[in-house]
Amino acid sequence: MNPLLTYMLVPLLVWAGIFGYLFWLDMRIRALEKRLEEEQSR
Amino acid sequence: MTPEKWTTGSRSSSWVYEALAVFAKDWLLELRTRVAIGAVVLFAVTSVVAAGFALAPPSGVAAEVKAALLWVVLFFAAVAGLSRAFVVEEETRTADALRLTVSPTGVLVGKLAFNTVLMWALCAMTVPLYMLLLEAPARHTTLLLTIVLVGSFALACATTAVGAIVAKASTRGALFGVLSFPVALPPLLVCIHGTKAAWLSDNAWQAAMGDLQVLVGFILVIVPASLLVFEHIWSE
Amino acid sequence: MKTYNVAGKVLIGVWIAAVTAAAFLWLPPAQGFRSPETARIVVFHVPCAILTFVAFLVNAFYSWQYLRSRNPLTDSKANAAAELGMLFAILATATGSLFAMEQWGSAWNWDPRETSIVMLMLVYAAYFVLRGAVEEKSKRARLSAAYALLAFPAMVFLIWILPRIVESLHPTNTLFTRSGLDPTYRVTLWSFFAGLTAVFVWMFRLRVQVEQMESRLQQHRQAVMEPLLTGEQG
Repeated sequence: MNPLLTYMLVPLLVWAGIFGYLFWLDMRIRALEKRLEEEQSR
Repeated sequence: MTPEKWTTGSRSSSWVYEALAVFAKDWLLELRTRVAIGAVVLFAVTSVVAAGFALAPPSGVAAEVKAALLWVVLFFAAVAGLSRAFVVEEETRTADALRLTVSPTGVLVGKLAFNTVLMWALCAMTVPLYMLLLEAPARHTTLLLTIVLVGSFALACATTAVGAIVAKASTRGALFGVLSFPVALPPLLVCIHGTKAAWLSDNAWQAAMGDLQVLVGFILVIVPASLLVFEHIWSE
Repeated sequence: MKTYNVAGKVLIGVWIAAVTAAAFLWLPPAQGFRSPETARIVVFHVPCAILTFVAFLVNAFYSWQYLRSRNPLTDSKANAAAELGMLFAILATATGSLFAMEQWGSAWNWDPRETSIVMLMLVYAAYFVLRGAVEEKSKRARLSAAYALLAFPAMVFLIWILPRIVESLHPTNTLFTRSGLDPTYRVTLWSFFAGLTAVFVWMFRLRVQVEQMESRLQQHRQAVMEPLLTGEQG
């Protein structure tokens, strides 16, 4: 296999991990915000 | 400058007198207790002797190393003593009285003057001792004197406002070293470079002119920045 | 609004991945370097370096804003900028070190640019140490803002003015002026920069949101607890 492909996989995997984490964080914050709105209006 | 300072016209010139008063009070206290001077001189002498002992015979050591080491010693001795200026107010609980009676500008300039004289006293005792024990080349002594005076003033400028921040944050001195190092590093690097030029190069004044310009520029930037920021440090 | 946001984030993800792939697959090896293949890392290194300084600027801006308005939101923003700045500084140092190792044989050379990134990290570290040392929120915000505004001119001196006075041996000066770079490298580098800036903004907003949420939660809890506490005493 082309060695460059292996070199490329490292940052790509790192980015996949970071992106996934950020995306999940984003979703969680939105969910929490929604919950807070509901609790406050109660 | 806030609008109030402009309307109360007499205040804009009184900060000079206030600064002098703060300076005089601090030095009177200092000469009585000799805490800062003691800490600073003790540290400097110990470091110089240790360096001299470790590097003996000094002739084998490159002049660049000696230049860097001199300023390292001066900087750490400064850290040992310059934080006192504001901490002492917190310790003796005089900070509030000072806040009520003196304008922030007066306090800062007074403390800066105190720190500057402390630095100069430190240099007066350390630099000759260092040059003697470590056999630094006695070339371009006027240039060296200029660099030492301007450079140590720059160090005092860099660290006085930081000292105010640290005094408010905690009374432990360890914070001061950490916080002041990044701010003091630019003048420090320039002083080392200039000292190197004074000891090594033949065209020393020309080589060091850039360094002196940077030092003056740095002072001209940091002092106004300190003044602008100090109000927020000093009072809520 | 919701779907737009998700689409935007997905676009960022795809963009970064695409540019990373391009840096390895499409980009030719860099001419004029000792190890042309590994010089690709410059595409990642320069954007990180630029963004860490941008973060520093953002931190200085919001610090100044905080001192003017005393709005806790501006303090959260200043803090978030500092955290991101530290992250990108570490990334820039790591990539730069790898580059130096491959091209010039030693991982660290103490030239002005390398020194300035280390100094920036020291400033960030000092900033976080200061924040950690002060417990009370408004005091912490005030003092760290003051420190940031002192460190800013000092760093400006270190980064812009010092290298002009002291002789610079940094060969990558050509990279920064971009005069010696292949156009394909330029495209890839700036594409990565665009994507990374988007990531920066995203992470920044997330970080600020987290802190805002925490304080709102705390306020909400206090608001709920108070009538209960006063009720008990009544």
